[in-house]
Amino acid sequence: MMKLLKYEFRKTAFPKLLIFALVLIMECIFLYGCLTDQDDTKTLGVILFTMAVMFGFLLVGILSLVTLHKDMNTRQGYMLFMTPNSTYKILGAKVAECSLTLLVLGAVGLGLGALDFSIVEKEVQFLTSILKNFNPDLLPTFPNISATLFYILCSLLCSVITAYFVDVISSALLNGKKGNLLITFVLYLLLSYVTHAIQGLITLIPAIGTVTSFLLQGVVALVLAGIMYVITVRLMDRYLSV
Amino acid sequence: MLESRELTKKFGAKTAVDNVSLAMEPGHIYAMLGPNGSGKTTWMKMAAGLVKPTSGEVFFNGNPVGIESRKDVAYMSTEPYFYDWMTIESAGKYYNDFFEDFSMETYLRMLSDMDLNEKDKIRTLSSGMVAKMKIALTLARDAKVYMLDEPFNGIDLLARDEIRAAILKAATPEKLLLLSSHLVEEMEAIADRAVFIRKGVLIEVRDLEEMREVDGVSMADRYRSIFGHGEVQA
Repeated sequence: MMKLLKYEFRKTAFPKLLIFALVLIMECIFLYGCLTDQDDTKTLGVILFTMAVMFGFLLVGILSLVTLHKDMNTRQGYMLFMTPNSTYKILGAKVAECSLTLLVLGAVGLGLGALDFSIVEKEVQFLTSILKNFNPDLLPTFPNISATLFYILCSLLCSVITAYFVDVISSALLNGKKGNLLITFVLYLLLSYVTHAIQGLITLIPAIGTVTSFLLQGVVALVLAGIMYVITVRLMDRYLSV
Repeated sequence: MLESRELTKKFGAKTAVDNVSLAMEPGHIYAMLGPNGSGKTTWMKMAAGLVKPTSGEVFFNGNPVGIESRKDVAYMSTEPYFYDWMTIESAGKYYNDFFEDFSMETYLRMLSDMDLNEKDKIRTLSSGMVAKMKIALTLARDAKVYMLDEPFNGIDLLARDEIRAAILKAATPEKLLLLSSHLVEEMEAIADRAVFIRKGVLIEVRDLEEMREVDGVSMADRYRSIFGHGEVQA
């Protein structure tokens, strides 16, 4: 599994390094604004940094999906499916690679975000006092941010595995069939809607706090991802030809 | 050792392999022969576990091919299948990571014999160099079965000689070698058994020596008689 993981990282190492470099460049813009005391640069830095992290999350998911798609639909898949590894391990390495990259990106985002916030804490005190009166759940405290990040990461992972599942259906069952792309796209939208609806059921629990709600929704996303992972592996074992 | 039972593969309306039952034993070099589109590659890919049959099954040592058989069956595809970032050396390391029977030492020695530089990126190699590298990579495994799909495709005479020598060196009484090629004369110098397949249907499996002695024909003659006129002659 570790060897598979190593090569999964290697396949998309360059674009991932670019993502991290982009996040660091945006952070540097913010720090430059702090050092030169330019409010506009600081604001721009924060906005760009947040966008880079969010864009990075999305890109990591897309990269993971593109790699799986290439492994199933091009000759390079032989490199993977010729090896004496079970499909659970092969797909598991892909899920682990995507999860770890998301986690590291999340940790970098959270760490640098916390650093940035501590630098400008006094300047944004007015904002935090407004939030405190309006909705304390929106305060940028560690539990709030951690729970939100956990929710985002789990939901994103669930979306990635949903995409894996749909891509496997497309490659193994609908390959070469008329309307494959349309069916795949509609199926993805439908499954995404269903998974989000199931996650949303958590919010119906009475008197549940925002932090608890986010944590539980994250756990539900992980369970759904696990179920889809097992179904995906079975579909690959039964129908996938590379 | 390697056996397909009523193996069929359909791609939509087209039947690539049609109900092929075939058993191959160690200690022989089999030449799988047939024109383009006769189902040779599809049969091999099913035996390698890369393509799922529509019906029937392939067995290795009595068990359906799968994770376990991949440890002992070395398959070389005719198309290049390496990752873009790979060098000749990193492809060897990859095999070394996943196949217990792979010998990096043998691989490097074969590369040297074939005059290949392990630092070269695979995507920059000529088709002949890739063909030699694939052979080295596959034969550096101490596998029980080697399946080489079109090992002489698109390469010059000297490279062919090197590949032929490497193949013959790998042939031992415990091993089974299966090669497919359009170059019938080339195969005649290597193989001792021939599998004739046409339009997905198995025509016959022949011992070449017996065929020469009994029928008085060479493999190339038999190929012509089977595929040359559209009619299979007895």
